Amino acid sequence: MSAQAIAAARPARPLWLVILAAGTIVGLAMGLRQVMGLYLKPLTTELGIGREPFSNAMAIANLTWGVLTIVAGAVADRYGAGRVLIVSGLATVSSFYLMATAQNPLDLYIAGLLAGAGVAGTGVPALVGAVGRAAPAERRTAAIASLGMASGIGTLIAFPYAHVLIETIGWKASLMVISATCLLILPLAWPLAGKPTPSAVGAAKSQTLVEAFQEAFRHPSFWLLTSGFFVCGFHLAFYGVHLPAFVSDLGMPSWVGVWALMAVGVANIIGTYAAGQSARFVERRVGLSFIYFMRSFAFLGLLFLPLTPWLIIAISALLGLFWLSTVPLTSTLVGIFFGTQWMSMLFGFVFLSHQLGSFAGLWLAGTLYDSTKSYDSMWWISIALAMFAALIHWPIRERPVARLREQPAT
Amino acid sequence: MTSISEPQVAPQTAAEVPERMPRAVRLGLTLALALLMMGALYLVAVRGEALLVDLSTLGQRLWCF
Repeated sequence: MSAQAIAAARPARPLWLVILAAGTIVGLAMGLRQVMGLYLKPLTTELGIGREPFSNAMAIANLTWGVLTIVAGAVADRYGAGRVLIVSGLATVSSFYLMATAQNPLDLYIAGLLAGAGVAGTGVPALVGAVGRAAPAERRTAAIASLGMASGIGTLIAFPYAHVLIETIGWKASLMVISATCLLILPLAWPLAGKPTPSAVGAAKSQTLVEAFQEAFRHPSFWLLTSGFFVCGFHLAFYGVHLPAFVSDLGMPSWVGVWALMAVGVANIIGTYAAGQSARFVERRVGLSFIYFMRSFAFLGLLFLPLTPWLIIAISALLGLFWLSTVPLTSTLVGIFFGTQWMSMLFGFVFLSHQLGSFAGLWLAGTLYDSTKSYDSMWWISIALAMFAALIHWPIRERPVARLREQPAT
Repeated sequence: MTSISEPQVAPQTAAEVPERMPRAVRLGLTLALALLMMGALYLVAVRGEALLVDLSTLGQRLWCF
């Protein structure tokens, strides 16, 4: 396909509008999804139920999210992200509404199911395809990095604002406000709507869903990438959840844990931006190796340095620089390997590995802490996994599969 | 599935579509985000511990992304 034909195939909507709409959706979805934890106490107290049904509802949400991310990605890649965003947006709105009006545990489970379905279609994995197709190849990593930054900003600001909202107008009314806020997703879907055409994905011959999976599963670099993303999930979940407890065990005040997590959040935005720009200078596989290698330094610091409150915050900031910076590099590599036709679906598969890693990190941290009353073994495991991830990204071959090699990059 | 229209891509060249965000939009977005972030950091500064206490009751936040 000629460069002129490829240019002609790009959507009429400007790239900045596509990124702005996708970023706002991701920021909303990721931020508001995270605030659900704040409703545990008021909701269970009001309904007079234990904490188990609420935890189960969140577990259902996560399970649904992991599985449906691949489905949502496939539908977005095949029919356009618009349809997926409308359905997922409505699911998100309904989940918060149902949570506000829940009468029994079954309502919570359905809300969990809807929340999982909602975030599956509005999260980063579901939108990387739409943004990846809209952006020219040389700006794709930076464009996807914008989604990662939006996710980071959404997460960072949603917690404190939701907390104030709960205290000011009550938990039920705040859920209604959040539910109404999620309606914004519907108009924001417009710039991302549009059925991808073969010319838009840069493939002379269209590929079926099964063919796409078969090709990916036969590609060694895809498995290396998927394994590395497992480690990413392992680190993030363990550190994000257990850091306050770790700080408390050291006898430090709780504000240290709060500010350490804030440092992670702020540095994450900077790190993700830098990762997006780094693709112009270094190969993405090298960037990923560097990120995981640097994470091992942060964990070593927590083991061997004389920890003070400010040092923990500094180490957290260092880790934050290498937090979700993996996302633009990992997702763009999927696009480089296989083109953008099934980018969201294939990245959805890689993302499932991330979520399995998150689960493994949380489960192992809890189990090891209970048996040893220390996080030392988890730091060592995290260092070993970081080194493992740094090593396995190195041999990744950053080039398209043979099917795409004869065509110009889009 | 849904009522949203899914238009086919328009036969328009990339050169006709402005790639960069208009200056006014960029300025407005930067200001809005800066205000939101400063507000969030202020709220964390004044009520961070209460936030953490509320969250700590949820022992297993399974997500992080």
